[in-house]
Amino acid sequence: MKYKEFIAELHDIGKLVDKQTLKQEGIEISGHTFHQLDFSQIGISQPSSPSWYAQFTEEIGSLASTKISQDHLPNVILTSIADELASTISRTYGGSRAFRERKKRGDFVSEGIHVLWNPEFYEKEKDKGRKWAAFSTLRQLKEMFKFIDDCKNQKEFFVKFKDNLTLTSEEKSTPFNIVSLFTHLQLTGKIYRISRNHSQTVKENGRLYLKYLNKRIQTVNEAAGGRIEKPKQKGKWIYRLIFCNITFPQSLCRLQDLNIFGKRADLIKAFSEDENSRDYVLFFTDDFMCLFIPKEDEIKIRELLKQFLESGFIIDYKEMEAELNLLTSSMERAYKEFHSSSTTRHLRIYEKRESVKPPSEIPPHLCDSCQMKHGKERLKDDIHEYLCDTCYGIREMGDSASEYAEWEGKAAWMKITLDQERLLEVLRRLFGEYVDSYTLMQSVGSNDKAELKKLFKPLAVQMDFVKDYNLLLKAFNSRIYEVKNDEGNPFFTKETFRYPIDSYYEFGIFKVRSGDAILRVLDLFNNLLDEYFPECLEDSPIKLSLSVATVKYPSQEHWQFLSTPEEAINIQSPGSTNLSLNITRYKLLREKIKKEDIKLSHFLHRLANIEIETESSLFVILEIFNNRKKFSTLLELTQNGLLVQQILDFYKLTREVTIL
Amino acid sequence: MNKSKKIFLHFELKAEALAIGERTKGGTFRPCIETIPTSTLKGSFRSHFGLANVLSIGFFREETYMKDTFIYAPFDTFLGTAKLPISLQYLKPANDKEMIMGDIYVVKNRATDSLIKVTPTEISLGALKSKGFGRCKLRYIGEIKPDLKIGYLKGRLLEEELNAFGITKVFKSCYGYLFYPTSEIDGVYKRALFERSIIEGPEILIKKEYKYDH
Repeated sequence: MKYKEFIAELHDIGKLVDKQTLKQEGIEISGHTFHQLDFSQIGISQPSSPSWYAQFTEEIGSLASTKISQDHLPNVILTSIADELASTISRTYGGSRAFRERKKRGDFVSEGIHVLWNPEFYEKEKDKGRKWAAFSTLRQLKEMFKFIDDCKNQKEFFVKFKDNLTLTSEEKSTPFNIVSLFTHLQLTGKIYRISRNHSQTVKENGRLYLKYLNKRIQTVNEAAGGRIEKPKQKGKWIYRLIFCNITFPQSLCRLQDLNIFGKRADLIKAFSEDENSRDYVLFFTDDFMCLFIPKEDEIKIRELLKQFLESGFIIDYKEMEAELNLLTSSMERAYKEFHSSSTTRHLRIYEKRESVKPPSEIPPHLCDSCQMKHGKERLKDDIHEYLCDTCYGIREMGDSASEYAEWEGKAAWMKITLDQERLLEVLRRLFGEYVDSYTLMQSVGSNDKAELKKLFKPLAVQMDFVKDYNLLLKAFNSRIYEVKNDEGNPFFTKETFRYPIDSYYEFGIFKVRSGDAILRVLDLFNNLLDEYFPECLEDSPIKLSLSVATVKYPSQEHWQFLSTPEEAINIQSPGSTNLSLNITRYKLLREKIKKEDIKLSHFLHRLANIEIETESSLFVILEIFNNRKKFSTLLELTQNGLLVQQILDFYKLTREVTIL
Repeated sequence: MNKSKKIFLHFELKAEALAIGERTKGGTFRPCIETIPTSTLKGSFRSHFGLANVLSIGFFREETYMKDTFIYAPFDTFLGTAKLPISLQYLKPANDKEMIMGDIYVVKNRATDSLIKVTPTEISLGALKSKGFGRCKLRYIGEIKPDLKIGYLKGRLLEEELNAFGITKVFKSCYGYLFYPTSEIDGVYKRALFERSIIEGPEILIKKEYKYDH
């Protein structure tokens, strides 16, 4: 018989079954697992592949179980650990007994996923004809069991049921229905394979154990331990959740140095796709990876990320090392809570850095670019430079921005960034609002609501968010060339809006012939945020930065500004303006400030001068008030918290005739 | 490492314009740093007071300075032509301030005690002194014995000087290099700890406390 792989992800395939519709066909199914199903009822025999035993995940919690053959027990227990972990590190749990009973009765069941940052998502997808359920008829149900028998690997499962898995929530009750089954199963599968690859099955005195770093366990609880509020329920298995920022020491003083971004993106992609490392990566962006890995005794970060280090990258990381059930991506919060109670359980947080340790002394010359190695003299176009082999190699990767160097006039460097720290805050706010205000939650008591909010863990939601972020980047990349000018022709072409690094959609450069170019880019970003993240406009963790200057302006300077965005929209024109706005204020400005209003421009300049001279906003407000009939919009803008300087900067940056 | 507290001589620094350069080359833009590395002060104390190997470090007070750019064209005396213009970043007083203010901490020993007697005085620091940058007034404030804390390093100092500055442990090393003169015309680059390293050391060297495990 051909060897078949155990696919942990299939343990929840039953969540794609529409039990209500099947009931109308006379087929009664309870729960979402089928280990107790009477197969004669549907006229087929029970599947026999190893993956079939994943159906016992919720039934079996110990290696001492006799419900299935010992051959399958380790896989089932590891799936169970992974499933529990994937759920508990990803949403909330708890609530009073009464609340839990109501939940069990189905009082809070809601169809489809609730995407926190895009609550209309499910309804919109439904309108497009997409369905959460993959199995609604007897024929489809039979096909599901055949699939459990025949499925070759998790990829086949994800490809075949992508739409259904994306629309189905991992847990159907409000407010737990915020994680897609797709992401939950991705997470479960990764954790299962990591724990399988780093544990051994051992038999001692006829008893079966799983051993990881010499800690043997028989039950799920023994391995994972209790939740954070259980100070005595210690778990034996300790793992790490790591947030890695992948940075570089190069100073980007030549345009060819931009190749470093391509190199980094390629390495991250390769690491996330390589079969030996992909399971460790829970999610990633072009400069960030979230890893789930065993303790340092089992896997050394330095060895795992060797390729990055050898290529000259620096890994700055925050690491949470904890019992499985204590792991969470909201590390700081958990750390405070953990240390507020007396417990001997294991939860540690470290901030560390990995880089190739440089030599204690370097004789002149130091590499001009990275400043971390000895630089050899290189001569190009009559310019002498001292570069180490790594930095020279980066320059030699190609002239990705050579066309840009030929441009004349002004250009804007654009960077879109996902701020992971802010994302965690935003997710917590969105979840809090969901718990407090969603219709089905109205009858839930305030204590239960408070507990649900307190115990929220955002990891899987973060993963879903990053997926949508990548969709936004792709959409930006394609739609920028669909933006029309007043004559209905494309405003930007591949020549006037460039992505210097292939497939690195966070970073672009475009020609600025007038303020209109800036407005078109800002509008597109704003529209996409509205489309993908309508609930995050006030405090968007996705930020757009534009640095507008002459083509010869130093790239280092551009980059310094682009890499430290404050708000959702950040624009600098060196020596002239520096503006940071959230989307709500941008929209307000966009609506109220008309570019052709010269009188307003003069008045704004006057106000800005008053503000500088008096160093007081009081005089400015007074002046606006005195001119409220003439410039009524200004009063409205300042009442909405905008500073006069911000209004003026916005006007200067976006008016038709460039005055940058 | 020795955990006893170090004694430092605290000086106040005032300047109108300063350009202490990041050691970045190869471009026409020269960024500046916002602290005063040990190597910069060592050179300055040697040339002004004849004191070799003074161990000191400096920090500018936030809110007293801002960055600006100065463009100049260096002159090639050999060819008699101007080179490509260079944009040099420098620090100047913040909008509402008259001077940039800073603090310099000198490790106390018999040699450095003599500095107390020569201040108030003037020293120069950083680049473009011929164009008026870097003139600083130095005034002695007093002797301090700061407590030890764990946190993020706020300056730049040579690794071999850690002990002398009272740094007892390094938990996270952010490396860079500082120039170390070996003669009047020669020198080497020595490994140094840069900002964001996590250390246990005198609190004057700590920008922000580190709150996690180490």
